[in-house]
Amino acid sequence: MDKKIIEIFMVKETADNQSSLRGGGCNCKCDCNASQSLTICKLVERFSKKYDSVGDFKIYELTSINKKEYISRLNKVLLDSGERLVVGESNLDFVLSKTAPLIAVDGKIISVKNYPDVEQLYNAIITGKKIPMKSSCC
Amino acid sequence: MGGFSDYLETIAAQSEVISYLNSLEYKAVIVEGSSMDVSLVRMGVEAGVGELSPLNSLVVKGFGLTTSLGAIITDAPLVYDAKASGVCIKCMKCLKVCPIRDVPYAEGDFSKCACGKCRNICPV
Repeated sequence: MDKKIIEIFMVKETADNQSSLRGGGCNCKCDCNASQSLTICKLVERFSKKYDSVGDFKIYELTSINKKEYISRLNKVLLDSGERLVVGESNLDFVLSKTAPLIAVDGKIISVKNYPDVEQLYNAIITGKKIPMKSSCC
Repeated sequence: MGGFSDYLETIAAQSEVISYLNSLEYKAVIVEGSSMDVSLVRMGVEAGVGELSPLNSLVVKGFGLTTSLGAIITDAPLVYDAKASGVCIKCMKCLKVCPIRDVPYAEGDFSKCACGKCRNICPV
């Protein structure tokens, strides 16, 4: 099986959610360059350790300097996944508040606003099935 | 527990409406459904989208309890819809399958319920 490309679109977490991070950098040695995303970092680290041959990760964390590139790649993933949602600077914050972290495998979305564990992610990659959203009542 | 295409569709629809209203120079903001201070169900009832179910969720004609709700507040001069009535047929099937509720229209925070049984059984 060819190695999959696993892309994760995320935003910086709030200060309240990063109490265990010091120095402003991801310290899990996953080399993802995500400065404040311990949970995703742990997923990446653990997945890579267990299923290294399955996929390579690309982490997109929104910053002030990569906004255009971020939007462009996110729109490509949405389009290739058959979604009609189009992201622009005007609705980016809203969309990310509703979707991040968004995970795509080989350009197709498999998880939205969810932090899957290693096995969930592995099963989704192997079976091609999407990871169900955690539901809530409205 | 479901797929997320419907969810993304809701986000797309809201974004498009906001863009349209903004293009006409009206103010428009999306109401966050996650806020406990705002009830999208209540807004749906007031807007004539549907009717309250015995579980205090929104019954919509043709969709039952399966809808994903979104709301936008705007200063655009919209024409109000009348409130919906007669949508819920009061069969109480939703109440009977609910694992945490046994009294219709009970008050309280039931936001943690996510089994989806009521959605599947509603005949509306």
